[in-house]
Amino acid sequence: MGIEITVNIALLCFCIFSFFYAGVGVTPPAIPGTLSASAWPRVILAGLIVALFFNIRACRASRSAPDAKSEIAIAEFFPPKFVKSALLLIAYSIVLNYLGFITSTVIFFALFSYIIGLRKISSLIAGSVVATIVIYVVFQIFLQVMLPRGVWIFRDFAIWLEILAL
Amino acid sequence: MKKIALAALLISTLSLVIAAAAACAADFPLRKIDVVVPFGPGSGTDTTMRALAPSLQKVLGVPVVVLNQEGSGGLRGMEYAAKQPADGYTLFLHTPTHILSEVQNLSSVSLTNNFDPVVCLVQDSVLVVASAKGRFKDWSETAAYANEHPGEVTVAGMSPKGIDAISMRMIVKAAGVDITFVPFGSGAEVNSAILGGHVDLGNQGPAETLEMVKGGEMKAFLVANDKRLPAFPDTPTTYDMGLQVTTGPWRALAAPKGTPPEIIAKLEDAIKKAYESEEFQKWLKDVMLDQRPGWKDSKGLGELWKNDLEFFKNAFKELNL
Amino acid sequence: MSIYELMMAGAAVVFTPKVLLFICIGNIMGVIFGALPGISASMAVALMIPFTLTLDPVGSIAFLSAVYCSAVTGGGIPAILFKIPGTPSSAVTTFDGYPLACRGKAGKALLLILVSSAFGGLVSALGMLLVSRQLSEIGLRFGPSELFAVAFLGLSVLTSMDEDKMLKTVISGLLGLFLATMAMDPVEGVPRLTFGSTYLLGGIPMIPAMVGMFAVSEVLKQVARPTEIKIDGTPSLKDSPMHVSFAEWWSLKWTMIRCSILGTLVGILPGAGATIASFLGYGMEIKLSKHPEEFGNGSLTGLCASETSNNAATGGAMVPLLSLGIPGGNAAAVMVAALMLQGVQVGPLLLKSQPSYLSSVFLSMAVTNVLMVVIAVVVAKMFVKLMKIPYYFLGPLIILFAAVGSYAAQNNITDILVTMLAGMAGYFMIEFRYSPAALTLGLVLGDICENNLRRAVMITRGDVLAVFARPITAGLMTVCVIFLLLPVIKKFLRSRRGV
Repeated sequence: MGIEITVNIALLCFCIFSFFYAGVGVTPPAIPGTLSASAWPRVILAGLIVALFFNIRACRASRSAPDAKSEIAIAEFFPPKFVKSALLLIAYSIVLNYLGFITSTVIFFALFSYIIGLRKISSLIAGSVVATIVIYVVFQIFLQVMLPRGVWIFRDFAIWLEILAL
Repeated sequence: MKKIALAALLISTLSLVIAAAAACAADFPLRKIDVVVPFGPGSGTDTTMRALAPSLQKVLGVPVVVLNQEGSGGLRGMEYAAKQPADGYTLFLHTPTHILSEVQNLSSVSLTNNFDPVVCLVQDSVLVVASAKGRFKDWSETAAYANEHPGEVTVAGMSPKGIDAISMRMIVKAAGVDITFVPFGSGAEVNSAILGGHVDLGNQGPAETLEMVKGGEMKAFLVANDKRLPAFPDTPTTYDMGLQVTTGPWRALAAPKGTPPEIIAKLEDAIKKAYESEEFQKWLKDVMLDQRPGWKDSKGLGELWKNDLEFFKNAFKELNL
Repeated sequence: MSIYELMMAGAAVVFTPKVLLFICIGNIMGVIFGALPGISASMAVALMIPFTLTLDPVGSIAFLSAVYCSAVTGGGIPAILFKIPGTPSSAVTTFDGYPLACRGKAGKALLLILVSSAFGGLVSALGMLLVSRQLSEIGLRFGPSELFAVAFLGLSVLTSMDEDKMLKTVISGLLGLFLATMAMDPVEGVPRLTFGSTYLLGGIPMIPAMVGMFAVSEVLKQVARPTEIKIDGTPSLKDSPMHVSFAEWWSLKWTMIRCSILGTLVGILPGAGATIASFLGYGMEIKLSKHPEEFGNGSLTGLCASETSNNAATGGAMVPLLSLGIPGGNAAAVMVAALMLQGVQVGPLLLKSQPSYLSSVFLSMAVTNVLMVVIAVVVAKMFVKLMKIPYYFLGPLIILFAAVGSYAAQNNITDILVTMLAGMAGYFMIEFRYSPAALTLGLVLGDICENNLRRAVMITRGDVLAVFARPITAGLMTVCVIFLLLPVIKKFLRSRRGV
């Protein structure tokens, strides 16, 4: 329960902060009497702040209730596999900008399969190459979506592939 | 290990070849050209480029591909295009929206500082329309009523600081009345609001409104131009009413700053030929973008940028935006 | 023109070998495009435009409407099997479709959505044919204040979605509403809560957020807790015949009728399309159901409501397009572009000069709604084969499809980051029993609610009371307030009585 309350409190602080931030850089509405740009967000935030407050109370109440489950360790909720996958996902979305689609995806796919449990190197490489090619064909060629190119030589490589495919 | 080294060698050789090819202006173009369109497929800017692309492809001899990079109201495409190498293989289709975003400092990328002008393609106009069943019969009646009841008359348009809103506000200011501008999300919603009687007036382009006017559902009160539009012979111009407003959306092509002038000159030539092609001219007629002269070469576009930037800076100050 | 002559004229266009062939192709491509995540129905229509160049204008629209209908249907297939909405309009289908698939009832779920979709599509097509004029008139009456009331009605379902965890559901919904405000304010034109980011000026994009919160979080869940349940829990068609008993069909009859009508009406409104229709249909059925606790856990009613409404919106979107030239949704707007390419301008005169548009679109939709059931079954079976892939390939593959699908919507790499973050947020929410569904509801409806309220207040120049005094608005708002408060009051009274 500790994590949940922590997140709730963090969210509460963020909401209170946003409540005031919403007014920054917002001019009063062009027409007097109508809703300004910060009115609606503030109403929502007010509701959120109240709801979060009650929620935190409810969480603490259930924590100290006689039949509450014993404090579940953080590790239980976020097993190492989850943490690794989450980091991989974020890394992938950032690396895409630089290495372009093909390279990033091949690496990403192989790493992700590894995290799930596949260990045979040949399967890892085969799987990721096939998957990357399939997605490339479906999206870049069939649907004409321009997949991320990356920079420098990766960009040139991607353009060369696109010309081939045209 | 060997395989990886081989792959790396292959990739670097390829890129050197491509880079070398790209740097050679005399043989431009050697590979396909990307045109970045900062709005979604189906939008006015997008269809303009897609109509031009086939003719341009014929003239240049290489594929011309439209890349939609939409988001943040057209800014995302601009930021993407600015990052591309200035080798002439990336072009950027833009509109007054990008001048306006420069005026408001919305992005770290600015049109006039990070791009070189190539050509201007078309110039569209802004019309003031109203429902045929509405309470006003023409502009004079509207202005008279608005005089006596400030703020009561409503006009529907799209983004509140976009080009059509600015044009509308300038008309309103020149007429000296107070009309409430209500922004909507799309042309369809604007038309709906007008026909449903929820607003008095609307701010649209000729293409979206001609059929409505012909069908008797709408009336066109004003057009922001100095001459009457051929398709709207009965619609008085702002000049007729004593209001000198001619702003309207235009669509033009630019290249990332630093593109070699010889390449720009080549592009200018090629686009001019494509522009004058039969297919494109016919398309222009169909979508009513031929009502006003729109073509400008790179020098003309550069001046358009400067003048519009000045003009909108002042407009923003005057209109208190 | 009498109905008979109209139908004859339409049949003359549609029942030619060429057009029928195109409609078949359109169906197949539509279902496939719809089933691919990130490719929305309007994108599917846009991609098929090049095919229309060999058809005449009437034939083109008949063809494109076939693509539209089948794309909306196709979106439900991955929604059930993988919890990835193939199109945004199938997001609600994941709520009940995926749990059913996990229980081994994938076949039943698929058959249900296909027939529901066909029913919704046919009813709305019929409405379009017979009462277009009247429906447009009704549609035009919905101004900003009415649209606000309709969107708010969708939100008022928040307190009923999960009576046990009302507080957490409400928090999720409010969070979704809050996230929707972090954008460039469309009414004043100023950046709002964007924290200086140019990316946020466009707002948090809907497709990446939804796909991330549903599909990516599910994969993360499977990765984090690889339990034996996974094998039984993984959807499989083999043990699940595509069979729905007559009794089950009969119990759904009112849902299908109600949602068809609702979907058609929502489709007519510009600015509200298949996605909104599916949320509203789902909300309506929760309120009217005797077993609301089943919703979100594999309720057949919930599944049926979602897919009937979103297909009904397709016919609805064509109504204002053909009678007034105002597209009722994004896909209809793309059809306008297609017609322009052929030199045809849409407007009130369109039907006067070519009345056969109405009947040919109707006939095309009628043929499509039947044909797409067959085609979708075939496509679904192909998708099911995918599920035999071992999870260490399937998991990353799902994430890739989710990521690239979200990217494809706007060609924006940051959208992929949003998808991943939404996936992690979704994981967290599911672990602690919050409601991603409610968050999606807030995210989708937030803009429409706020923008229309502010427009309405602008039109009345600050007179908020006048906004709510309008007949349709007042009626809808009363219903909203009742919907919102009743569950809260009931719960409060119950806890007081110590039950």
